[in-house]
Amino acid sequence: MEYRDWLNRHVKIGSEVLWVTRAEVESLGITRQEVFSLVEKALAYHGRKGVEMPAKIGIHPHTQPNTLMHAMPGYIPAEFIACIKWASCFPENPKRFGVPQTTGLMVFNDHESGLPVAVTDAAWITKMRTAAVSAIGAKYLANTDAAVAGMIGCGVQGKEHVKVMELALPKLEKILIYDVNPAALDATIAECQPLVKARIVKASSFEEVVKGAEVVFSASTITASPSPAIRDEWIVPGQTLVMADMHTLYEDATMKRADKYLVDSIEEHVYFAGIGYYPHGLPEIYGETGEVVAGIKKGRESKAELIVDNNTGMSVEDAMVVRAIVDRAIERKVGRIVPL
Amino acid sequence: MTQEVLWLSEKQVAGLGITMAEVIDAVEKGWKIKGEGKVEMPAKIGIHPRKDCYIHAMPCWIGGEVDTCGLKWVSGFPQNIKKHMPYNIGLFILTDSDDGHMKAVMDANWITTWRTGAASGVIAKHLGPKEASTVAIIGAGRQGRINLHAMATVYPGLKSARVYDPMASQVDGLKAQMAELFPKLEVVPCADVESACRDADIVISCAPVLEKPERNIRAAWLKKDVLCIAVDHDSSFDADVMTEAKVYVVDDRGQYEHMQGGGVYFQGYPTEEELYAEMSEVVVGKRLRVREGRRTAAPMGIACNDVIVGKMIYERALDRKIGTWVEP
Repeated sequence: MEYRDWLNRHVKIGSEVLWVTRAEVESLGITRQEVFSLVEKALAYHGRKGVEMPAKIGIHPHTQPNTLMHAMPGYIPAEFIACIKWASCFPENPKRFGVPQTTGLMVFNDHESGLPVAVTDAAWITKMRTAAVSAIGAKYLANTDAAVAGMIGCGVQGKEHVKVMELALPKLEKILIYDVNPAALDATIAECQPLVKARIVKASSFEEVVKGAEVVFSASTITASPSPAIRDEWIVPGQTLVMADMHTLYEDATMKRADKYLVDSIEEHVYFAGIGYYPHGLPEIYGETGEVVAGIKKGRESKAELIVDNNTGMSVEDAMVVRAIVDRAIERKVGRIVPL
Repeated sequence: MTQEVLWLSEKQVAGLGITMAEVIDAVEKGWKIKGEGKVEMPAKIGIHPRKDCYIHAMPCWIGGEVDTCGLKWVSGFPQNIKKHMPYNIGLFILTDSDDGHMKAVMDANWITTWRTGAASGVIAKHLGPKEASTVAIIGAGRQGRINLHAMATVYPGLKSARVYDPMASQVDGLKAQMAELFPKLEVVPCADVESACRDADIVISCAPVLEKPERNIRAAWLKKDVLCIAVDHDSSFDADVMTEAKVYVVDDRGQYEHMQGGGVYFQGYPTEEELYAEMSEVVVGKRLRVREGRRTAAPMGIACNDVIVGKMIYERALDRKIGTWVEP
C-alpha cells in the first residue's frame, strides 16, 4: 500500500499515466551494473518460483521474414511489479527502412488495482537486460577465470554483450568478435573499446572465435529453424556457450552432448519447440538459469564441463528494470503526464 | 528518425463520434478476414495479482487488406468497484505491420465496451431473425446497454426491450440512456428473468462473469425460434440451452478450447468439436446462416475485434486531429 500511495502522489492512478520516452529512459543514468544486479534478482525470483509469468505469446506478420511481436506479461509480488512488454523484432528494418530492428513499449500497472501507471520505451530495457542475462549465465556457469571470450553477432545486442561481459568475467584479457557483416566489427570496436578493459579483437570466421574463446556468446538473428555455422568438432570441454539466439548457429550434436544444458524458462522453450524452433527436439534440460542463480541447482562443478545456456528472455527481467525506471523517473521528475 | 506515437484518452476516443453501425461493420470485416485464414491470434495469457483478478494480454495480427497489429492489455479487478475505481481498464497499442513500430496507445475501455456490443450485432445479422420485435437483456450494466444499442442498430424496427437486473437503479440507468438514443424503443423492466425471456426473439445475458456460475436462464422459458447470446461466458444460460440448440457458435475456436479446457468456464457447454461454427466461418459463408430454431452464441471477446476497432479509432483521430503526439 505504501508503494502505491507513493506512486499515486505523483501519478493520479486511474486518471493519469506517466509517459517516459526512450531518450528519457537513457537520461536516467541507470548503470550497466545496476541492470546486471536487477536482472540477477529477477532470475533468482524466477528460480525460486516467486513470479507469475505465462509463456509469452506472439504474432508474426509476413511483411518480412522472421518477424515477431511478443506480448510478455510478468508479475513479481515481492517487488509490487505487474507489467507487460509489447515488443517487436523486424530483422530487415535497418536495411529496408533505416529504422531499428527492435522497438517496443512497456506498460507498468498498479498491482493493487490493475490500472496502468506508466508507459515507457522497451528497446533500451530489452537491449540492456538481454545482454545482462547472458553475462549472468556466464557468471554462474563459465570458468570465471576465462581470459578470452567470444562474441558472435555484433549488432545492438552484440555490442551490449561486449560492454557487460566483464562484470561476470573479471579476468578477461581479450574479446574476439565476429559478424558476417565486417563493418559491424569496426563499429563494435569504436563503440565498445573505450568502455572495456579487455582488448577487442576482430576475428575472421566463426571458427576463429569458437576455437579461441573459453566463453562464447552469440546474438545473431534468430531464424525460424537453425542454420548451423559452427561445427561441432570445434567445441571442446570446458567451454561455455551462452546463446541469446537459440540454436540458430549450432549443430544439434553440440546441444545434445553438453554436460549441462540450461534454458531460462522450460515453459517458454517447450512452447517454442511446439511452434517449430527446435526441429531436432530440445536436449535434456538440466535446469533453468534462475535456479542456478538462486542456488537451487549447481552451476559449473568442474573445469572440464561443456555447458550450454540458452536464454530467450523473460518478462520478469523487463519487470525488474522497468520498476527501476519508473521509480527513478518519478524521483527525478522525468517524463510527462498524459490523461487516461 | 523516430515516429511519434499518438496518445488517446478515454474521453478523446469516446468523443470521436464513431457509431455503432460503424463498429459492427468493422468487427464483421475482421471476422471476414479471420474466416479467410489471414488472422494470427494466439489464445490470451495473463497475470493475476489479486484473488479473482486478471490482467490479460491480447495480441493479434489482422492480415489481408487491413494488415494491422495490436495488443490490448486489460485488467479486471472486481474489488475496484468498492473503491469507486473502474472494474475493467486497459490500454490498447496499435502496431505497424511493416516495421513493428508503435503507432498509437489509447484507452481500451471504449473499444472493449463497443466491440463487445458490436460482436453481438454481427451475430444477430447472421443468425438473428430477419425482423425482431422483442429483445431480452439480462443484466443492465455497461454491457447490457451497449448490447441493446447494437440490437436497436441492427433492428431499426425493434419495439421493446425486456430488461432484468437485480439492481433496479441499473435498469433505470439503461432506460434513461435508451430514451435518448432510441426514443421509440419501449424499455420494460421485468421482475424476474423468466418474464424477461418469455416472449423475446433475442435473449442476451450480460451478468457479471463468475467462476462458479449460478445459471438462471432455463430452456423451457425460451421461444421456439430464438437467438441466445451469452456475453457473460456461461454465467446465465443453463447448459442445455446450448447443448440442445440447433446452432451454437463462438468467436474463436482456439480461445474456446483453451478456456473450456481450463476447467473453469463453459463446463457442461458443447465442446469445440460440437460447435456449429466459429462466427468467422459463418461470415465468409463456409457455414450457412440459420434463422430458425434455437441459435445460441457465446462470444468471449477476441483481440481481432480490438485491433480492427483500434485501427478505425486511430484513423478517425488523425482525420479529426484529436490526441496528443508523444515521443516513443
